[in-house]
Amino acid sequence: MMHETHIGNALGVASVRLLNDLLALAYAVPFLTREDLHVLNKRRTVSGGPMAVVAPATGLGEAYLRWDGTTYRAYASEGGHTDFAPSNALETGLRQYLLKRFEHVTYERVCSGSGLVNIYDCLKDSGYADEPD
Amino acid sequence: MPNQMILGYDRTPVIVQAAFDKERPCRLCQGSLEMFISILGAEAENMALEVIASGGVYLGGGIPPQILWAIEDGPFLESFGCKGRMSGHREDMPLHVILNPKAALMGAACHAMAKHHFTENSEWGLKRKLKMGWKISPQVSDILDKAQEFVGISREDAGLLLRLDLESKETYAVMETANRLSRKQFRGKAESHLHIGVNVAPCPFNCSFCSLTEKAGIFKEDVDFSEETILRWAKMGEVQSADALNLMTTGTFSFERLLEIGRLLKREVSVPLVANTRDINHREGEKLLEAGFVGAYHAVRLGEGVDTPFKREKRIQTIQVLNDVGLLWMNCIEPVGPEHSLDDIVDLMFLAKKHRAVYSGVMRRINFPRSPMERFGMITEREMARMVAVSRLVMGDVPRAHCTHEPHSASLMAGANLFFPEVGASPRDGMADTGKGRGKSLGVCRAIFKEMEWDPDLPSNCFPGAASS
Repeated sequence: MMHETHIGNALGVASVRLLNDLLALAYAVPFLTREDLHVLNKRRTVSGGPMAVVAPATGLGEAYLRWDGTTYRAYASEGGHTDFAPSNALETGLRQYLLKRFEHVTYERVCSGSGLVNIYDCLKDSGYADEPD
Repeated sequence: MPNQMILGYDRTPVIVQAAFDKERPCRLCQGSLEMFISILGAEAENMALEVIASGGVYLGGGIPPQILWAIEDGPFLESFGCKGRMSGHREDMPLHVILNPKAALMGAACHAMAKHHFTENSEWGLKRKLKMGWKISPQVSDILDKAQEFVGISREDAGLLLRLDLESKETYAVMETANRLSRKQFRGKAESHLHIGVNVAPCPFNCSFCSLTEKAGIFKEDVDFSEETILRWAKMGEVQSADALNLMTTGTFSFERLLEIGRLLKREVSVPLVANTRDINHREGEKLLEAGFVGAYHAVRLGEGVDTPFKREKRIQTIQVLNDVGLLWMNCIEPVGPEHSLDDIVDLMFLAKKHRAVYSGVMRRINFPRSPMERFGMITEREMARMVAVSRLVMGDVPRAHCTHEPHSASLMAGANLFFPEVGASPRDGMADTGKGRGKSLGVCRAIFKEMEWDPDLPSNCFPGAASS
């Protein structure tokens, strides 16, 4: 188990704070410039408005930021571990398929790197299309 | 493909690649990706609704940047907004993909710096980045957005900006905005208006912030600098390309004599002349014009009527006289000390705007030896710079320059572009000739301007047509 004071002692650094990767990413959001971002829809950002971060990687990380009157503060979320709610027949099939493998079908199971593989397996097994050679 | 699908191998990139394969696109991979994107859109919307993300939804992680065009293509935006009754909310929420793979590292660094876990001198090199993307308080941000249209700001807003923490990023934003306005409007021109203090007197009016008074007890008798001396200073100003000569006199100084000096300098030098004298009427205003003055410096001082024996109304009348007869009115919020209320300071800023001062920056009160106001201390140059910035925003498109006094660099990054180098008498000095005391020379002012990237060699903006006269 990693501990802030242990790391501090080992490195000879007075102050160490451990952040999970999503929290670190969230803290960067207020500082991102135009080159760091790709805009998907042109909407006016409400300055001081809450911001959400959704990051599918190996797992599905989520975090959000709120303006505290002086600065943005980032908060961790375990939203990736909430239940996956299908919104069409295909997705309902996906959930049924994954329920055979997992006790809970969370968003992380379908919306992450491994989630993409799960979707692939499901579509393949359900005969959606042939697997190419 | 099946060969690559060995257990334990990371199949994610393979699926993505195969879906995008131009020659042999994999239908199964395409379908998987489409479904994935649709689910991602739905989950992004879940999150957006949970926090009401009016500040934006940001897609991070390794996958979105690799499938950017597929995200842009359709199923994502369709499912980001399928939440029936709440879809109105979603319409307002900006959506971005984070492209910078180092964003999380940056965030950790930003967080550490914000928490002062690292010292100012930290070599992280992220400080610039930090400033550039710095989000400031929405309230201040809105004020500054408006101010940069050169329309001025309201009294309440000016008060708010003067009450911000001096070390806050908001205060830096205020100064940065004022700096930008001035550099644009004044086209990079630095102005030096040379103050020539024509006389020293133990003045009986005894303004408590002035050193040239009976009470201050520094000067026991009158010193009227000779015409020869004044002319020498004026010529020196001309040679060193002063943009104006401001002839400064005490309230006791003979008005007729000021006119004589004006006529002399008008004959001998080509630099525009500005008078600083007592309150005057219309007839006297016209006389100043006839003698060759193009403008007059006249201020309603802070503490007018309390720290001075003069009436505020009378001072304002004189300003009206100047405007009526066609003399340019020059002004400064002065002499600012910690004893003055911000409301009084803001009042004077708006007085300057109302009567359309050619310039109206900020001068601080200086503690001369045994000043009766010594106990209040003096405001810092940083505070001056902030006041310079706020008064600049108040003035909107009115001014032709923006002054700060005494000369210092901080205000030149906060909207000021005008210094007063000084020779002769100064109301802030214990020396009869401030050129040998506190006063800064034209050369020193030039050096500070250049250091702060203002160009003293451009023509003045304050006196249109002066060069031809």
